Amino acid sequence: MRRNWLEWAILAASVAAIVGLVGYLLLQVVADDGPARISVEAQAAEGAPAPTGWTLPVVVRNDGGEAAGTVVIEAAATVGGEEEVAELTIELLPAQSEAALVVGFSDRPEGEVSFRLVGYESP
Amino acid sequence: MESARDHLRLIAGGLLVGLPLLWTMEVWDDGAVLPAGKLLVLLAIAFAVVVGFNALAGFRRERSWRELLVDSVQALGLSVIVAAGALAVLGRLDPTLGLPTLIGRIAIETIPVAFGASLAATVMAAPDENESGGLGPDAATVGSLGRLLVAGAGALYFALNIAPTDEVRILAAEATEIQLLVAVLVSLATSLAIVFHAEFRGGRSDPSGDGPLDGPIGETIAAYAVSLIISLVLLWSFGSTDGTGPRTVLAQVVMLGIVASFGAAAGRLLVGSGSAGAGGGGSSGQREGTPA
Repeated sequence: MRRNWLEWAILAASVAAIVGLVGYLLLQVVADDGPARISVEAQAAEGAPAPTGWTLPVVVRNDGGEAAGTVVIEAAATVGGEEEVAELTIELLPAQSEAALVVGFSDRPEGEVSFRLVGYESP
Repeated sequence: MESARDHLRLIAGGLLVGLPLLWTMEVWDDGAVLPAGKLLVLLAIAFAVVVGFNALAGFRRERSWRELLVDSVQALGLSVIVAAGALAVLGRLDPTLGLPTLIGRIAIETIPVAFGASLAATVMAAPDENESGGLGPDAATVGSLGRLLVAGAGALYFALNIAPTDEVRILAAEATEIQLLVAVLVSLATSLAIVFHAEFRGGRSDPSGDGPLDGPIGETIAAYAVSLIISLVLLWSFGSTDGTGPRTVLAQVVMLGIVASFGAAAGRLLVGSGSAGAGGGGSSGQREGTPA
């Protein structure tokens, strides 16, 4: 046998890498998870006072099969009796990924913060 | 440990050539945005190039078809691992990006790394391991179709560094018809000059045969056509042709075609003379084009 153990190890790793990569891509082609599906989840427990008022961490997820570009999300809440609207923009939110952001208000919101997807670009 | 050195050279060559695209943001984003089908097409093209390079002269001299396939699978597989490792070092494989993007990024960055690995296996090999020097066969034995194949690989390799960037789209959008015509003439003239008149190592002054594609004019035009086709395929792969009219697609193809035709010329220099020691001279000529 001309090939030594190192060659066998490298060949095995190479085949595994290619099969993994190409296999996954083929699965993606077959599965076709459809367009981007965007959801927003506020981490209400992690809201905290800040020098600028109040900050609330949020996680934006894309559970669809396509990426979304320039995702704009509006967060609305009642602060000190008045409606306050904050806007978030995400440059690129790939398929099956999540982005952690922080939304700011002038003070602690009263009640729930509501989120609305303003729009996104489908690349 | 001859084979360990071969693999080390393969990995190093892959990193050398893959570096510019590993550092290009548009390519990271393409990993997230491109559909899996297009990534598979690009990987298939890359594998074809790897097989082609290995067939011309691989990192083992004498071999059967089975060995050729095994060597090519190893080169591509190592490239996948090298690309993944390099992206991990650069911190581009954050798990929150999701599996499709991580796999997409690795897939797309594998392509330039695989080109580098093939170059390392062939023209970057130390001359004493590779007695005939360079790619071994000279321009006459490769034949006119073989030269066009090498021209295509060179075009692919050069244009791949530019195709994902926004610059092509900007150049195409702003070019006038006159500029495009000038671009065509410049592409033809420079590739004619590089291969037949500038006296680079590997350049030729005499026709390599008496077929229609063996003379300087015929070969230059055919190689330019190949460059344009490669440009179109790359632009389609990276989504630059989506939603654009024929005028813009044509302008993009011509603008990227300048780069591709340089690559096609450099590729032909590699098989040009087949003289001993062409490994050093040829590969440095090839590397000049890597900055994206």
